[in-house]
Amino acid sequence: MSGNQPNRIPDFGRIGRDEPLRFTFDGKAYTGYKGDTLASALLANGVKLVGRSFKYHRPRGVFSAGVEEPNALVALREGARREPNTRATVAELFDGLVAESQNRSPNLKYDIQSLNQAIARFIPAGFYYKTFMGPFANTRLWMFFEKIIRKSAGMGTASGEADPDRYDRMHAHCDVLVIGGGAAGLSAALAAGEAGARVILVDETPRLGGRLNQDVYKIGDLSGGEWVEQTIAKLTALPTVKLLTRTTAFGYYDGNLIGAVERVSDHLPEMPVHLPRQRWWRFRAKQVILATGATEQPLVFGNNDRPGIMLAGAVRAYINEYGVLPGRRAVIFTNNDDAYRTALDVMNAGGAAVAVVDARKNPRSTLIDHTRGKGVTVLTGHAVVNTHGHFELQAVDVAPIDGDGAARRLDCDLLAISGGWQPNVHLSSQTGAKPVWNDKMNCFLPGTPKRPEASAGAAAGRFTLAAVLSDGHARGTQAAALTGHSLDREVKLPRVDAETPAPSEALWEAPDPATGHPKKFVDHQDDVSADDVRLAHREGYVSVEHLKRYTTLGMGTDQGKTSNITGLAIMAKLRGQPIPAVGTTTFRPPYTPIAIGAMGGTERGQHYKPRRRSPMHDWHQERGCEWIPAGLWDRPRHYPLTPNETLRQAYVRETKQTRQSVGICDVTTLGKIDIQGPDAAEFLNRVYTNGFAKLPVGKARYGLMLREDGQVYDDGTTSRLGENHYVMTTTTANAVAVMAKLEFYLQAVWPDLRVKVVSVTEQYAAIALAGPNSRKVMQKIVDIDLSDDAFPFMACGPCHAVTDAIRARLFRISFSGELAYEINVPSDYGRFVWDALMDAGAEFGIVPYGLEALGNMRIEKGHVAGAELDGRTTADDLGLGKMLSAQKPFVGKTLAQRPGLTAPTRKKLVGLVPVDGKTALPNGSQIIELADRDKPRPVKMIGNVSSNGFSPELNTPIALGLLEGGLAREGDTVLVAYPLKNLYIPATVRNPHFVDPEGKRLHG
Amino acid sequence: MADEHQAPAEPQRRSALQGHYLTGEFGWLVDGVPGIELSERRDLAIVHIDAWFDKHGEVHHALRDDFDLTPPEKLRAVELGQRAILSVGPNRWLVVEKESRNLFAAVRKSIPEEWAAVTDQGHSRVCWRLEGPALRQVLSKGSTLDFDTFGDGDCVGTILGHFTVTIHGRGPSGADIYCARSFAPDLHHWLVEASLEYGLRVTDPV
Repeated sequence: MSGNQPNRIPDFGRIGRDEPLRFTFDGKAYTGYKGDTLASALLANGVKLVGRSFKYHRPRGVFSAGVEEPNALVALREGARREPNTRATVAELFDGLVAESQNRSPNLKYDIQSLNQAIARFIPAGFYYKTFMGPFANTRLWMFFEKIIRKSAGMGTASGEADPDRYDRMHAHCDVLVIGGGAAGLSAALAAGEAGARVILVDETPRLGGRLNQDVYKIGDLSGGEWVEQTIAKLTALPTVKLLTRTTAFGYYDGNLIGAVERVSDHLPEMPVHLPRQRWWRFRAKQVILATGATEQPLVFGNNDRPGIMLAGAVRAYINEYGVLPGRRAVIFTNNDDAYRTALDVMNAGGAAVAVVDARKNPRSTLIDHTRGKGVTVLTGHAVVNTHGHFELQAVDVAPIDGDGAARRLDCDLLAISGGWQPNVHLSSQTGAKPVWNDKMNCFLPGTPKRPEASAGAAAGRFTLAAVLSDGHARGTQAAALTGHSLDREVKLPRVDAETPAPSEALWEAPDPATGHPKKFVDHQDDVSADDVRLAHREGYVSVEHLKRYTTLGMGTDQGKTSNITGLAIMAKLRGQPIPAVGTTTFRPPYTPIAIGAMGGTERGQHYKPRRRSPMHDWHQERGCEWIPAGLWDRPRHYPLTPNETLRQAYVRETKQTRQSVGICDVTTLGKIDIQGPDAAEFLNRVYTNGFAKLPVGKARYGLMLREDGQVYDDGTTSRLGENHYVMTTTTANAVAVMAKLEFYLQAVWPDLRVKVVSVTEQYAAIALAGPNSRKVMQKIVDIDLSDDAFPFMACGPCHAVTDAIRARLFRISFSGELAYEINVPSDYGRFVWDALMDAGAEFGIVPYGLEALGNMRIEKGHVAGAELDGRTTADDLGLGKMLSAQKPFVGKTLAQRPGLTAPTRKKLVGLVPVDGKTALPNGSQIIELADRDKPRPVKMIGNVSSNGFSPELNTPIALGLLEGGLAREGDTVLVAYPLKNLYIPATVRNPHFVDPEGKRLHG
Repeated sequence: MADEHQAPAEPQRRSALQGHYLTGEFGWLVDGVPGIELSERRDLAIVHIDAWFDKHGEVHHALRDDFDLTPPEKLRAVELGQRAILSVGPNRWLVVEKESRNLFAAVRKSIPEEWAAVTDQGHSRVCWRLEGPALRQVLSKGSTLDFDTFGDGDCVGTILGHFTVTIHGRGPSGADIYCARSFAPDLHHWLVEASLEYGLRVTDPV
């Protein structure tokens, strides 16, 4: 044993002894080596107590050496990077690592909540549900105790700070994806790669090799480790092969899509600034080889959870991969041959193998004979029935399985247990291939593949090295061939010593000792005992899915990798049925826990969603606008003059100035669709409710579109630029949808029409100029006559803006109800033209106005917008019934005539003003009859407020709404109700055209 | 134009990337060698041609005769000097060249409206030119395409990150990427971030 690491053994392991690493656990400093996991380093330092159990707060130690670890959950790092519930068995050690135990108070050794053990009989499985049934149901007690229970029975806590690291995504395609870099995976990848296939091999650990790094094998003349190195060298030399370590394939999805997470820099002390912490991979593979190995299963016996009790394969892993002997005096408890290797490896590492306790009555094999030959006591037909110790194991009681429970005590500080190996069928079963129980091997094997995949090696139930290597090679060759690649020479597999293990025998639960009935844990992570399974059975939870939910068996970070099989086997026995009849719980992604950050990937912060910017975006920013998202666009909401100016003050000021002089607004976000072709007029005639066939060149017209079901879909103006050339505008929100719909009509509904549509939304910056002085301002920058005669309301045409270099389109259209123009210029000139208009408008006090003022002015004019075009309104509801042409067919016409859409009781557009002239009428308010004010609720809702604003001209809040009876109720007083804020505001119904109802200003 | 108004200086096209485009070296350059070199192709003239299905041949001939390039087959692009023609759909092409004339007028003159709809799109797209050994990795971060099988002259419309783009493969390790103008600043930042781990050199716009 070496230096300050009492359990480190010289000349063992694949660690970098010339690279010592400092770390702390619960504030105490330790040293490990490069290549250690946190678990191996703790064990090397003699730390056996690493955690407290979930419910009873029992002392727990390292149980495994891999992802299946149920006990050694710790919090890693500090501050914002603190990550709770990390398995110490897979956390790579780095210099300066700070680790902390969790689920204990005040500290790991003295945990006050370990008192739970004293009341264990009162808190069995399901107590949480039962306690609050009956008299406590639906009382505040439930909420009170729930908080306490959640706090006491929990795992670690996150930092609560934002994750400072970056996460990335990557897509990859290949012929053959090999999942698992052990003997089978390496063999498969080599076979497929040498055949010329594009191969990607992923492995969840930092070192390829799997059990070859953890067991002592000879392959030909090489050690297992040397064979691994040689094979990696061969694979690296192949140009079509890619190797990815620290990459966990967590899910198998449709289309042979495999999800994986690569831990790019989790193992580094500092996250390199240019590297992501983790990378989320999506592999699309023609063939998949699942060389995912197997997980050793534990045995269930009295007090089987003390620190020092460990899976037998894990003991060998710590000895051979990490150079750590977890205990000096080992007892091995097994139902199969494999664990005998542990006895030999412990002895080889300088420890003592006190005994092998074998549940089988008379197993015969070379390995057993060899172990006996080394002087190890082998007790067949025996079981460990109880253990002793508290913070660490001190002794075990061993008794004959068929005896009366009389036990002998064996002093030991390490108990290596093995209940056999269960192939990791998770990914296979995620494809829908139901795992198949094998009675001889006492494990589930992968079901018949439903995708282009094959399991190889231990994952397919092949547990000898010779079988693993040859199976891997065969699967790799086969997968390559299925993708059109084959090797034109015969490959000779390396020679491996034959193994003829004695058959394993199932032992799902050891007998009780002669006296007492100690807890026998099935699921260490969730503190589920064999008695809990029995209790669930007694209470009728006989389905494994119900068993899981009732007892929490198989939940948590390990998802029952070392407990599910035993749990369902015990349940099967209780039900008197074979295991296949009971079945397994469903395997769902992810195979191991995944950081939420990795799921989010790059879609965070600035990249949470794409933002669209208009060509004048920077101007708005420089002007200090407040932004508001409109779809994906950033739009100015308003432009505060001072930091103290409120939203309402700003938009009222912008409204007033526009109506009194001139305002300028960025309307680039409106959809613009170029429509060309000899049938364009006919096309527009069909998609709009109103006629477009006779629209002259140089004129614009407001158009209304219905959905096929007769409801209003979208509106906007369409202008005729040439005989066969139009440009349509749409609302911002529907720009993409309308474009897609037009394409659909042309491709699928009316392919005979000779029409093409192209979006030009991005091509043009669009600037609206409104107000009585808008003509004077616009005239300064364009080269056409803007007099009312030459360019009247709804005129449109080409022009040049500012200079002859800028070809523009000018439209005399108005959303505000004022004299107004909209100019479209090529986007790269948008800012230039905007600046020119601001200069030109300076003498008139031109004001930029944002979305709020834009909306406010359209409310003043009674123009409908998104709030009214909500998918539930008809043209008639909105006062646009006259736009439904009787002279022609159009989309939605027939269904718009349904009785339900024409009923006189429908809610129709009205204007509303508060009776007091002061109180705003909130959007979303319900409208009820004034007479219903004091009646018991509920009362009938007769309408709703859709949009609201403030009219400077009327000096009152105004609103648009939909009301039963519509304008027939003009002059009535109704009650605008907003119960969430207890607002009940009397309001007068009036015409929605609050300002300039005759439209005189438009023609000014 | 009103006589009394003094026109501002001659207009310059303002790239959507103005204020976002920083030249220099970024990220992890190994021995000073970037994995990606990026430059914006500014001031492009782009014209979209959408031919009637029965006029495909006429448009083909017109482009070949008047623009010295035979329009590519689907999912391909052709290039000659500063001019490229990209296939962007059935009977749809983009003609791209550095702006030095009224390309729209030239195309319209060559292809009458009886043959195709022709639309000016020169200000609607931003184009990045990427070159370097890490090109496939960078693109694979955002697109599900198999870039091992994507090469010189290939042209696809796809999603890159959040963004709808057209990618034109150039040579063994180069590509032009076209994206709608309004999304360009966000895509630029995305490209920069995606390239950092391989080392990025951003050069002056071309």
